[in-house]
Amino acid sequence: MKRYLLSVILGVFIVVGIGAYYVNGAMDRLPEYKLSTLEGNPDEAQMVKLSGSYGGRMLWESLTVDTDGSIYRKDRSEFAKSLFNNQSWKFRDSDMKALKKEHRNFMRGKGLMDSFYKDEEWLIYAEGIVHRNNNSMLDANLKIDLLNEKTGNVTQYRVDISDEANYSWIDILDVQRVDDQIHLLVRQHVEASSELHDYVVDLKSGQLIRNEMLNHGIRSGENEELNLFAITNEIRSKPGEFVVLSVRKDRRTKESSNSYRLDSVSEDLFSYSYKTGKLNELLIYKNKNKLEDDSNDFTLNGNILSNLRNNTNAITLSRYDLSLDQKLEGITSLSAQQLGADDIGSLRLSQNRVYVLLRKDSIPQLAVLDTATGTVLYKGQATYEGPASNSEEQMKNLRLLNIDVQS
Amino acid sequence: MNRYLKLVHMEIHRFRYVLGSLMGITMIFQISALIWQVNSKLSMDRETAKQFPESLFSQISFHEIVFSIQFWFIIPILVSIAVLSLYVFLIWYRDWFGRNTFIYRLLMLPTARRHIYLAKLTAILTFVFSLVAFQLLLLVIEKLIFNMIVPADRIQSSHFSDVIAANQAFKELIPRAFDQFVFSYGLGIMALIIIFTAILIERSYRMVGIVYAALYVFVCVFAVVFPLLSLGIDRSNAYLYPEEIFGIVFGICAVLLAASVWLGFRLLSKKIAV
Repeated sequence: MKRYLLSVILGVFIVVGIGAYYVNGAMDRLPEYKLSTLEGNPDEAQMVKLSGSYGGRMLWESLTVDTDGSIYRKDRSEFAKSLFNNQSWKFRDSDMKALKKEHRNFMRGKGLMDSFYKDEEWLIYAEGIVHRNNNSMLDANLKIDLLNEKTGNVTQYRVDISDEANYSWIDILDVQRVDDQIHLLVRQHVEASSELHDYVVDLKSGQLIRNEMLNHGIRSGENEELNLFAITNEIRSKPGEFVVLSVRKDRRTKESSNSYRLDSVSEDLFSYSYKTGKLNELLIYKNKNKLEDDSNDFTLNGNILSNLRNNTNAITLSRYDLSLDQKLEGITSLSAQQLGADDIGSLRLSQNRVYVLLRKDSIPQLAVLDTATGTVLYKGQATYEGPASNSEEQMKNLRLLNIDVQS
Repeated sequence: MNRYLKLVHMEIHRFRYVLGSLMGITMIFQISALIWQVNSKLSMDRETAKQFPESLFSQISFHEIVFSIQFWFIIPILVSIAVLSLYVFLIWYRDWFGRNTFIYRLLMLPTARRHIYLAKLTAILTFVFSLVAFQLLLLVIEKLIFNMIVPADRIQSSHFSDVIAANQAFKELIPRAFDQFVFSYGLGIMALIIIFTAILIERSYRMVGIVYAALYVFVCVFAVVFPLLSLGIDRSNAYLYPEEIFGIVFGICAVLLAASVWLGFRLLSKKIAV
């Protein structure tokens, strides 16, 4: 045995050394935090995760805090992160996560989040494909996959939308179903400009019924360009009669031989009804001069278009019913002080709730407000889950910056 | 089993001086760098205090010192990695090209030849993990030295995880998450087994064996890397989901591992003749 002492010592040394390191690592817990209720219904905060970082160590450690406790990013290995975070931007969305869970096979290879539509009968996915044909012209096609939720049958259509215009690329911005018609809102790029089209395809035959170009009537002048966007349902795959189109006019200024600067000139919003085919300018938001203000946020939830903004530490939420074409009740200048806090960190609008990350004496708080009335439905604050003697110090090390709502 | 352990011990015994030297070099480099850095910081503060007696000095933490001398900590680690990488080849070739062509004696031992293969593999892993464990022990010793040379009122406490995070090499070699440790060293063990098999292919077929061995290594690397690149793990429109692609890669790794071990055993027992 004495002869083998070196090997035995090395073996024991390895097991004890590396074992002790990982046991010590497992026991080295960073402080636990929790979102605790101050007032209101705790169910309102069930789906909320506040993310930020803990600064009590050499490196800031990322963490999320919710009503159940806190989770540190460091507790997941790089290997686990690379395994689970691939395509995470796609599957982090709760809508996509649910679709993947329910229809794992159908969802394969389908990565465009705006291209899904789901109701009780159908799950539809559409994709725009442009390729060069033998005559060196570009062929544009719409590829549509339909899953009948009742029978489980999958149907595929390919609709040729090539015409005399030479499209360089096409984007699907929204997919909807109106009775037996599939509506595909498509942005098509022809040379330097882009157009919006509503392609209506027969659900039963896959035939193109009509192609409506959405004529917003805004023209670009010299050294100007138009950029078209769509504000679609907050839950992307959810059925909705309306889509809101944003037409932004940018002025191009040459900065050097091969670089340009774009300055926004105006932005106009239009609502488009898939049912009636009516394009209606939303005059209430005309030239709203929103572009420099990043805190502006438009959200479409069914027929309601909401605009949430944090203006000098006060929340303003305007709501507009697209079907009735009228303004609804919202929140008018609700200040941080009215919410019992010092300042507003960030805002998030989801479904019929406004989520507000507040700070009171540097302690992060969360308020959940009703969109129609501004009533506080829930208020909570981050608390340290440990000895009260350390609480003050540990709360100073906590910075929460973002709100994530899993709808 | 007994014979296998004896062979392992023999391999460890043959490398003991080199292993000891690597540990010694690591210890000398790191402790010298630590003492030098702490002393220069303290003497700089003393100079400042002479000029500005009212000065208040910040506290010094062990992890900040480790962070500031990363380079001197990494140098011996890189030397150890280089020596061990070279020894992966030498552990076989020294038996053929050493003074007494020791391989003849090894191959004629009244034991299964796979024990030779396994003993060499175990020995290399023992060297790697003993250097890792030594580094961990060294950090504890270095912290004690730090506490001895820095005035008690200037010491700011450090967590061990901060010390690991303070050095890029530690983060890679001693990851905080255990599953990352298993994954990283698992890949390393697989690479080691593939290289061992390649060496045995070369030893079995000599000149043409070099081509076979290179081809074998290329096929193994390709088999692991190709699915990761071609199946579009980070592409949103990939047909397979990320967990499925990882599953395939793990499956391929398991097959390669089993095939390499089997081939290594077979070449050693059937092809390599004394």
